Amino acid sequence: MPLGPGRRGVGVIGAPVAKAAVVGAAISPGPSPVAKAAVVGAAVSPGPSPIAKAAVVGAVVTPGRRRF
Amino acid sequence: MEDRSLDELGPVDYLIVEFPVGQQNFTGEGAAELIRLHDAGIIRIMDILILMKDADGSVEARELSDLPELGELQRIEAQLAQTLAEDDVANLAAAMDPGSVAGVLVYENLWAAPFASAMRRAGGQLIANGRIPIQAIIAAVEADALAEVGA
Repeated sequence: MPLGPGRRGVGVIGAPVAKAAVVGAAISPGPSPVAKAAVVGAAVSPGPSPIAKAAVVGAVVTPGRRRF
Repeated sequence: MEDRSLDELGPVDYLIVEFPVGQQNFTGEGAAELIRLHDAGIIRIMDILILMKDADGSVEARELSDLPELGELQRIEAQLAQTLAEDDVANLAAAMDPGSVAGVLVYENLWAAPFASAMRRAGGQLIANGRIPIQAIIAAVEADALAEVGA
């Protein structure tokens, strides 16, 4: 089904789009159980891994993690 | 919208959500959440396209108005700016797997507009932006944890 006349003209995307990493992979079984628990814990507080959760939340919302 | 100046526009993003074969459970929940964001003034929906990629890699693009039942999306459809051109379809579909269906959304970040405008008035200019993948945060946190164990 062709698109309508409003779709003629110059495109805005510019180049073929590359598939991004699937976020779901971060919370599915994988090689990083500690970090996985951290992310899950951060998303659904209180989580099963409060220490790791604090690490993730801290990395995102506090300045204490910067290493330079 | 018509009486906003160019300087008052928020950043415009696009996203593609792919539904692989066997995972196409369309209940209308996503559309309802999208409309909620639009109605709340958090984003302004500028364009929506539905892409279907066949097993042989051919791509078909459909307008929102081509869907049999639009529901609440009906009133959004009438406001679409049709930002995407036919030329964009192949570029967008390059990220899709054969057999999948994808929704392409172009939206203005209304929530960011006042801040962006203020930055421009202060002489600032955006020189980079992006998204940090959650996997990168996981990897960094894990590396920190391993370093602490080893310390």
